[in-house]
Amino acid sequence: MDDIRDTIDSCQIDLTKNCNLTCSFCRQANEADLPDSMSFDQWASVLVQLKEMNCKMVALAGGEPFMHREFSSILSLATDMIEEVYVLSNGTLITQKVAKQLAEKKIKGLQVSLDAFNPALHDKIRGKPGTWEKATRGIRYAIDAGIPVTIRTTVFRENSAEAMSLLEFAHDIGAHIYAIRRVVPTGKGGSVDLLKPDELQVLFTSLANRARELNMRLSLGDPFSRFLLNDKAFVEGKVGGCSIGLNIMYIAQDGSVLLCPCLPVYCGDVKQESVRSIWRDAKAFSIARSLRSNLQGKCGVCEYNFQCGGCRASAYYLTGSICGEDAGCWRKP
Amino acid sequence: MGIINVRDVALPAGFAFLEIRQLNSGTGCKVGFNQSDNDTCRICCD
Repeated sequence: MDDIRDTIDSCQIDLTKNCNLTCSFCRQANEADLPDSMSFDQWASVLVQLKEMNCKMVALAGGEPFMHREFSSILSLATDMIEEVYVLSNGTLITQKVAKQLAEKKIKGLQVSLDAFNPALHDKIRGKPGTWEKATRGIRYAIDAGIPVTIRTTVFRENSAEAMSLLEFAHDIGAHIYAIRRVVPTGKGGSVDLLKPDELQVLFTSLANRARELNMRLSLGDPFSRFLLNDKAFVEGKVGGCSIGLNIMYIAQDGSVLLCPCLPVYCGDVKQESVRSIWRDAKAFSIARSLRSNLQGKCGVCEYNFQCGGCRASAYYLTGSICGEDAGCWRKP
Repeated sequence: MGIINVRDVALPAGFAFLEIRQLNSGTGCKVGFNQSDNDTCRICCD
């Protein structure tokens, strides 16, 4: 077994905070047009350091990553160095040419957000008319180019009735995975109507059942959901679930290392310190690695604690404590 | 959403630093299912 401080399995990099959409639940509140203060050389240094730490997966995200001026160069470097590179996008800027370039760079996957099967609702949530049309066109271009595509929904009350249609759509269009997780109530997400635990249970259970019928991969982003929907998923002695500080690092567009995109506890700055020293020594990471022994409420007494841990960002925003219970979980331990 | 400094993260009384130093989940399927087997989970952790 490895000491988790010696390796970083995966890293999400937000290349830019800029975005061409204004989604109603976005974790960014009003931070558009912030400068992308990391140079190409600085990102290159980060990628080299990640590789040295045996990082197997990098996800390039944003904002909208295609809005970064040097996206193509950074992507090329990433795919040259890191085994699995994913791109997380709203899909609207993916033309046939872009899809071909992504395929040539052999990215491991492209995640495109679709929040409703109903185009008008998707456009409303995304804050711009025509977004559904552009996103689904981008998805088709990517699938035609041979890229494994994940269609991802961020769910809350307004779009919860759309999820089943989106799963079917993802299957029919030839997407590789349908992914869903609830809104984390931060940024603009703090003002949307969240689903209650029993509503999440009904929704995720029906999606899991239908995904099995379709033989479609379903990715449930909320740590508790996958354990509660498949009793075989519980394996004694394993540590999993929420990955903050354990096997994933998150780096923001200005080089800040934060615990999680949705839980911006400052861990360090890759412009000032090495990736390795931040990962090994940052106090915030020590706290994150100690959380499972300190959880409160129902997460604290749940026997799935070490395999799940709940979503610490959701717990923080709903209870005020990073150690609080994840109130979205429907389990009653 | 501003950046939260670690000193401002409220920790409960009695918070103990008992770090998880070892992890056996690895990459790929986090719960050990064989993805090529049709009788597997289909719910992905990635």
